[in-house]
Amino acid sequence: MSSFDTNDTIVAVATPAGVGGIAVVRVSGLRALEIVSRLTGVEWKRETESHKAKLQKLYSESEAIIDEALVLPMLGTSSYTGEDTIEFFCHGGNVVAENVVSACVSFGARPATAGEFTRRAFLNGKLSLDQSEAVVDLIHAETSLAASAALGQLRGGTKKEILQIEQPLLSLLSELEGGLEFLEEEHPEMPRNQLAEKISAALKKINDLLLLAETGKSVRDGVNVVLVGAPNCGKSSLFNALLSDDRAIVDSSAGTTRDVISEAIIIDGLKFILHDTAGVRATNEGVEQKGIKRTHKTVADADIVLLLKSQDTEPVEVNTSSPTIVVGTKNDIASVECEIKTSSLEKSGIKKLKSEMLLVARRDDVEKMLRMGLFLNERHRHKLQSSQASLSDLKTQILDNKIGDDIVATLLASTLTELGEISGRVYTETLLEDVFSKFCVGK
Amino acid sequence: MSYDVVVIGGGHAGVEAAMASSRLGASVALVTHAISGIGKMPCNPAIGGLGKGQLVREIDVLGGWMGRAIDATGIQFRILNKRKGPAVQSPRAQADKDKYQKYMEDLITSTSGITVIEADVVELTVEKSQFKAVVLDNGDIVTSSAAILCSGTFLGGLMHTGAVKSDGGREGAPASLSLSGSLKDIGFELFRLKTGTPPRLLATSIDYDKIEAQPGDQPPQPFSFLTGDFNPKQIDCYITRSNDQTQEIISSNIETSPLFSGIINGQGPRYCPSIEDKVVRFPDRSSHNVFLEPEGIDSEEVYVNGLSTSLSSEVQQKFIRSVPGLEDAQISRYGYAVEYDSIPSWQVADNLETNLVSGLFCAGQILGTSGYEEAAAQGLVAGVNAVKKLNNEAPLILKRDEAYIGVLIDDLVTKEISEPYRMFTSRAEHRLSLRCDNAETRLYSIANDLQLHNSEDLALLNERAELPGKIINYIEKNNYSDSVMLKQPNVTIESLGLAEEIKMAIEPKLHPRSIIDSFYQAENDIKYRGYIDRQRRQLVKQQHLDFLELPENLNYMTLEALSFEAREKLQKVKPATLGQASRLDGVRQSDLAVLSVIISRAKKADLE
Repeated sequence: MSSFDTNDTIVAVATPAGVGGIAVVRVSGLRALEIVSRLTGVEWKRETESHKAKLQKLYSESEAIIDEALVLPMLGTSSYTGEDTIEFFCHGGNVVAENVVSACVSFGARPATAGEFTRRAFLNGKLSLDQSEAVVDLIHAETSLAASAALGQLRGGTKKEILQIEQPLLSLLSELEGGLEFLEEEHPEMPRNQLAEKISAALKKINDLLLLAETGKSVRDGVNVVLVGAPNCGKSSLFNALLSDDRAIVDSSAGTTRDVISEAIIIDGLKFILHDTAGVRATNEGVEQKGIKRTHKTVADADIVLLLKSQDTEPVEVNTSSPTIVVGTKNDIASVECEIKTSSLEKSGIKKLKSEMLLVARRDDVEKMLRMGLFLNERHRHKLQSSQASLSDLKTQILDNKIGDDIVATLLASTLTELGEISGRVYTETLLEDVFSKFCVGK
Repeated sequence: MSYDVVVIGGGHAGVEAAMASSRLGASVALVTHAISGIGKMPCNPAIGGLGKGQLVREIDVLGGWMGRAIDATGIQFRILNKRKGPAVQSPRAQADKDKYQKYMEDLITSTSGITVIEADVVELTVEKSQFKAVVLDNGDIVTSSAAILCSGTFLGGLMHTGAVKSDGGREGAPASLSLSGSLKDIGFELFRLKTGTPPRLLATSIDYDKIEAQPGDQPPQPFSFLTGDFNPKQIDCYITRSNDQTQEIISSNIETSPLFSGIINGQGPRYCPSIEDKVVRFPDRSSHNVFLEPEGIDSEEVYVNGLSTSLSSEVQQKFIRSVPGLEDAQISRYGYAVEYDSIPSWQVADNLETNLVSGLFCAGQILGTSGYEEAAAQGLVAGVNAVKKLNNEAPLILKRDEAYIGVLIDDLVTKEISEPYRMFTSRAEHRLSLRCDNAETRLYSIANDLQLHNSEDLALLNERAELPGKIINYIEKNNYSDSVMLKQPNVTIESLGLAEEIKMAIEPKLHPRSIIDSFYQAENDIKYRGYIDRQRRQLVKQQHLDFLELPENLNYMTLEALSFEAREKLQKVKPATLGQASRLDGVRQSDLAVLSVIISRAKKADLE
C-alpha cells in the first residue's frame, strides 16, 4: 500500500461502455473494505478470504437494492494496483454499474481519473514504465496480434532490444571518456574511421528497429488502404467484395460515392481499414469536388493505395509516395493489363489481392516483431528517430574531422539519454504524464 | 578561548576554509599540529592536472588562494591535453613545495582574523546536536559556534612501508588518534581509506643524459586572473619508463607489500594506483611511464611520479634502480602507504555540514576525496557556509551546471564513496560549458555575491568576465560571416586578422595576456555554442528535477511504495531534491515516480 494515499480510495467502471452481459466496477484503496461493508450491509474484514468471490446484494445509501452481484475482494499487495481492491460483477448494462459507482462515492470513494489504477500499479512497483505502456496497448488491442504483441512487451522485449543498441555505445563512450582522462602522451585520440564504424553499427540496429516500429503501428492502429480510380471503375464494388457485405451504395451513374467511406476488415490477424473514395475526374459539381479534395487528403495518409483500372474508364494517375497496388476490375467484362485482375461480381482475384496487401503491409515482419517481443509505440518511434538523426549527424561530423573527442563524447551521451527514455532507464517528469495520459478511466 | 569558527587542520582544505571564514568577518582559530605544516604538499609537488586544473581556476575566481599561491611559487607550467579540445584541457604546474608551504603559512599567520593554535584536537564537544567546542591535547578548550573538520590523512593515520607500521599522518608527523573515538561517540560511522606516495630520490644521483626532458610551456600560463606579468623561472621534468626487470622485482616480492598481504584494510584509489597495484592488475603491460619531478628550484629531492609504493625499503631500492636513468639513484625518503578514517558522505548535507551535528562542517579527505585541489575546493565552500550558517544566510551551493565544485560536492553527498574520489572531466555532464577558459565569466556573479575578493580585484574580475561577450558582440555586429568562420576548427580571431581592430574598438583595461585569454574564450564560446545549446535543451528536462525539493522531515522507511533498497538509501542520504535522489545508486525510476507524487502532494498541502 502506498501510505501517501491514505484517504484516497478510487472507483470506476472497468468494463467498456455499452450494453453487455456483465459490467465490472473496481474499487481500490485503503477504504475499499469499509466501502464494500457498507455497500453489502455485511461486515468485511481484513481476514476475509482474498481472491474468493461471493454473491451479495448491493444497497445504495438510502438502503435501496441496486443489484445482486458477485463481489471479488483482492486484499493486500497481491492485486493489480498493489492495494486493497474489490471488484463488483454487476448485472446488465451500465446503468446498474453507474449506480454502484455512485453508491461507492457516497460511501467515501472518489471517481478515478483515466489510467489511475495502472498509475497506482506503477507507483506501487507492480509494473515498470514500458510494461505500463504494454497495458495501454492491451486495453486498446482490437486484434489478437495486437494483444500478443502487447504481451511480448509486457514481458520486457523492447527493453532487451534497446539494451542491445545501448551496450556497444556505452562501452564506446567509456572508452572515449577514458581517453580524455589520460594524458595525450599516453592515450591519443581514437582514430576517426574506427569511431565512425562503431556508430554505423548502432545506426543499423536503430534502422532495423524503426522498420519494425512501422509494423508495430500497423498492428496497433491497422493499415490504411485507400481505393482510388476513375468514376465508375468499380471502387465501391471492390470495397464491398473485400468486406463481403453491402456497406457502400452502388449505382452505375458516375460519381455516386461523394464522401470517403471507411470500414475495417481483419486479414490474417492484421486490421486493414479500407477507404472508399470519390472517383477522381474533373467536375463542376460542388459536392463532388469536395469529395475529390477529400480523396486526395485520404490518399496522402494512406499506408497502401489500391489504384483501380477498368477497361471501360479512363486510367487516372495518383500522386503518392505510399506503396501502390494496381488492381484490374470488372475482369468478367474485359481484362486489364496488370498483375491483379479482379471481378467483384464473380468474387475472383479477391484472395490474390488480399495476399498482396499482406505482403505490402509486411505481415512477415509481424512474426519477427512478435518473436522479439517488440511492440514499439509512437513515443518509442519518436525517440528512435531522434537518436537516429543525432547519431548520423555525429557520424558526419566525425568523418569531416570537425569535432574533438570532448564533443563526440558529449553528443554520444545525449543520444544515450534519449535511448534510455524508451525503457525508462532515464527518468524525466514529462515521461510519466506522457505514458499515463493515454489510459481510459477504469484502468 | 572563544571564536566564531574553529578550523581543524591546516592542509589545503583548512587553509581555504580559514581564509574564507575570516574574509567573511568571522574570528577564526586554526588548530594544527605544526605551523610549519600549513599548506604542505605531502605527496605530488604539483597543482592542477586533468579535471583538477578546472577546480583551481574556480577556486581562484571565487576568492580562494590556491591559484595565487601556485602562480607565486610554481617552477613549471603546462597546459595538458592541448590537442584534445578546450573542454578537456587543464593547466598543471610543478610547485616549489617549500615555497608553496611558506606562502600559505605566511598568508595564514599574516591574516589578522586568524589565530593559529599548535595542538592536537582530541575531542569534540556537542550539546543537543549542536557543536560547542574542541578539546585540545593540553586540556585547553576552544569554544566556537562552528567547526570545520579538515583532518586529511591524520585522522587515525597509520603508515606502512613493507611490514613496518607506524602511527602518523604523514612522514615525520604524528597522527590524530583520539579524535576518531570522539566522532564515533557522537554517532559518526567511520570507514578506512588508503593512499600512498612514491619514494624521493637525490637529484644528483639521477643520470639525466639517458632520459627525455619535459620542459614547461613557453610562454607559461598562470592559474589566477589576478596574476599580471608572468615570467617564472621554469625547470625541466623528465620522463622514463619502468621495464621487465622492474616488473620481475616487484612480482617476486609482492608478498612484502602490505597491500597484498592483508595488512592494509583501507580502500585505495583505483585511478592513482601504486606500482605494485599496476603490476598485479596489468601483468601484460611491463612498462609504465615514470615522471621525475623536482620538488623545488633548489631542492635536492626529486619526486618519482608513477612509482607510488608501500613495498619494503629493500625492494624499493632494488626496483628503482631497474629504471633507465635511475641505475645509481639514491633514495632520500622511502615511499609509504597511509590509512586514515573518513566519514561516509551520506552523513553530510550539500552545504558540507554534518547531518548529526549542527555547526560541524567537513572538507577534504575526511569526506573521501583525494587531491589537494578537491580538498581546497571543499575547504572554500565549508569556510563560506560555516559563516553563512552563523549569519542565518542561505548556503553557497554551486549547481552541477555552474562549476566543477558543484559536481564535486553533489557527487560527494549522493554517491557511495568506496575509494578516494578524484575529479575527472567526465564526471561533469556540462563539461562543454565548464571550461578552464571561461571560469571568470561563469562564476563572476557568484563571486560578486560572496565578496571574498576585495573590491579592486572584483572590478578586474568583472572586466575579464565581460570581455569575451563584448568580443563576440563586436564580431557579430561588424562582420557576421567572421563569426560563422570561427565555428571552423583552427580558425582564430588572430588568423582572421581581427585582433587589433577589436582591441582598438573595445579598449579593454586588462593585462595583454588576459586579453589573449578572452579571445580564446570567445572563440571557444562560438565553436561550442551549438553543441552546448543542444545539450542544454536535453538536460533541462532532467535538470528540472533539481528544482523539485523533497520535504525535509520525510520518513522514507514508512513509504512502502518505495523499493526497500531505495527506502534505506534515501533515509540515509536524505537528498535535498528529486535530482539528487535520481543520482543515488539503488534508486529506481519507479521510486522517483513515487517521490514526485510526494512532492506534488507536499506542494498542494503548502498551498492549502
